[in-house]
Amino acid sequence: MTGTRNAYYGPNIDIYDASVPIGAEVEGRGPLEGLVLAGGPQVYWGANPGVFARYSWNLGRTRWTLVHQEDIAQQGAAADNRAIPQLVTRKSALAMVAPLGPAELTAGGIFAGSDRLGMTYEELVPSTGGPTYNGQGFHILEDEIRWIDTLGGKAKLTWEPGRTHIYVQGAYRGLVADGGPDETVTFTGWSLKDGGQGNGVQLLSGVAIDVGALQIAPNFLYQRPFVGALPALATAWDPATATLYPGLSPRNSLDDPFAVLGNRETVAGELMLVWDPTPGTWFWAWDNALHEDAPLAGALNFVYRHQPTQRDAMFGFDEEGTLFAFSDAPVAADVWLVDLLLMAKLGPVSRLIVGAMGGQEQSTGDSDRMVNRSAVTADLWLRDTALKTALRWNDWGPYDYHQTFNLTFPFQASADLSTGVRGFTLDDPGTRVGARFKYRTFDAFSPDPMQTGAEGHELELFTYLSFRM
Amino acid sequence: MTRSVLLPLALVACVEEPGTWRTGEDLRDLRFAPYTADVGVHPDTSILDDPNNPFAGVLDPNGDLKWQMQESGCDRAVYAWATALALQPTGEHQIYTAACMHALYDGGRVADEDLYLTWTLAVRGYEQVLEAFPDSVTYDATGTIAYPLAPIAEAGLVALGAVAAESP
Repeated sequence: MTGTRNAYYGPNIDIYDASVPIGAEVEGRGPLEGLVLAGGPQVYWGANPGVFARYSWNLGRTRWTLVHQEDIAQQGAAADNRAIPQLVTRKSALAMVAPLGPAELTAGGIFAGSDRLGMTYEELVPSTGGPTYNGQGFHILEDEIRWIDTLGGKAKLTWEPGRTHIYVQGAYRGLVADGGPDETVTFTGWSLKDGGQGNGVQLLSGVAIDVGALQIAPNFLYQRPFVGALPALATAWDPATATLYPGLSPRNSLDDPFAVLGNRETVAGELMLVWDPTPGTWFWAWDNALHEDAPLAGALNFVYRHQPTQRDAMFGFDEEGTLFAFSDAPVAADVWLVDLLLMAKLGPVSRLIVGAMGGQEQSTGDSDRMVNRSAVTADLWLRDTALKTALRWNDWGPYDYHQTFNLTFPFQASADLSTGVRGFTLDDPGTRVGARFKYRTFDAFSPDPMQTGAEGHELELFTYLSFRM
Repeated sequence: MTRSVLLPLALVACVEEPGTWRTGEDLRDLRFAPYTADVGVHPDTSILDDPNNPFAGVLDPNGDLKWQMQESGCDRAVYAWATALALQPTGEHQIYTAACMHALYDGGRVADEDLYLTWTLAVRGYEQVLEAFPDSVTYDATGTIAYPLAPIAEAGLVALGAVAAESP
């Protein structure tokens, strides 16, 4: 019920100069077999200081797991770890895994967010007739978090007859019954996943069919929050009746008990095609780029999300690094993405990794402008020499804030040629000498401190020598 | 941990009270009552904590609501201007706050026990325009013609008897 988290952050901790996650884990043995305790000031990036406990045991043919999370305090200033702070929370979950004929059933319940009991929230309720709020066609309900809002349940059925893999998953979560994101890979690398947020019902289902080295895998998602997002509504004054109608702002996850974000109303489908002739090195392993031994392996995915309503507000950092919540959110819009990843092993430490993408997506801030972006990247490693190239059209820049503030460049190109003492690795390639070329053009949607006009271009060439200490 | 799971299950069996429907706030009877001895005088922000202030948390200092309140009279506008001043300290917000307190004092629109404090707050508000925002201006309805605030503040102080009028 509580999700798994990917703790591999690549170079991002250094890029954002964030505080390094710190924690400790103790695993029981002997009579304490099945018990795991973890805790620390920041167990994963952005986590509140807290403790976690998990206990698993077998009962007949079933396996049970009880998990508890207790946050002790709120994480420090957001500027220190470049992560959005989270409300201090408490959550417990009980899950059971049981064989069900040829299938396997995972089911569980969660109790989370009791610390938010009594917190108030507003809900927009469409009118079915009669007088409405300032004659605007809706009512505003003021309510508070109650015990029922802390409860949730989830069930997942998996079945793998022959070369077909099927799953169906359903979830019900009260308004604050947040389980956290679940990055478990079910059969294949589908991008439609359970976000783990409270507030809503969700149905996920997918089939992965192996046809030789090719896997064909459609996936489907439906989700709907119980309480929808709030639109920005200005305070209004009716001079005829001397009545003030206070406005509304979209909720955010710090000032409100919950916010509609990843759990916004969505009907989505995706089709994943995977070519993996050597499944011994599973294409979706987090470090597969290091281990993939196929001459050529790849995945092509198409995702379409129908989003008929908008979300609540998200956060940004201003120029001083101060966290703030946006006062609005982009309008409701459908988005889609096509994504291709190819990997070829050219030698023990030689790789060719090619990526391509195109799609229509939204800003993570408050901009309504849809971005139709595309990109092609290629990284070639020949023993200890690497050539990394990228071409991007109408894409966001490389950092999070580019998407937050919807800052795009009409064209971006980069190439980096380097050589050093090590061949292909996932992260730090060690001591290297290289040359880098970067070029980008600007328009009215680009941040451009170098240009006085709305359009222009920028070229950067440099050589570097980096040491690994 | 077992209790933490079972307890809510027992409690949700109880009937939950529904929420309440928000309606507009009737401001016909709103009258200014100073919340603190510094309210409405820059840099004080206690107006944001005043439970009688209907604009705390709902007024955009850059929006039109403060002007709508100005048209509706100073009983309400004084709260709107003081809120705007606390959120966005400008000479314009300060002088309209002081001018409203001035009008409420002149019109006897506050409780008798608050009259002297209201006079004091109006005087201090005008003084703050001169001291903290000496170069500020306000604009006419077209938003194009600027009027300096300092002479208006000086005239307010004279009208309140806080300073003597200069001889011509």
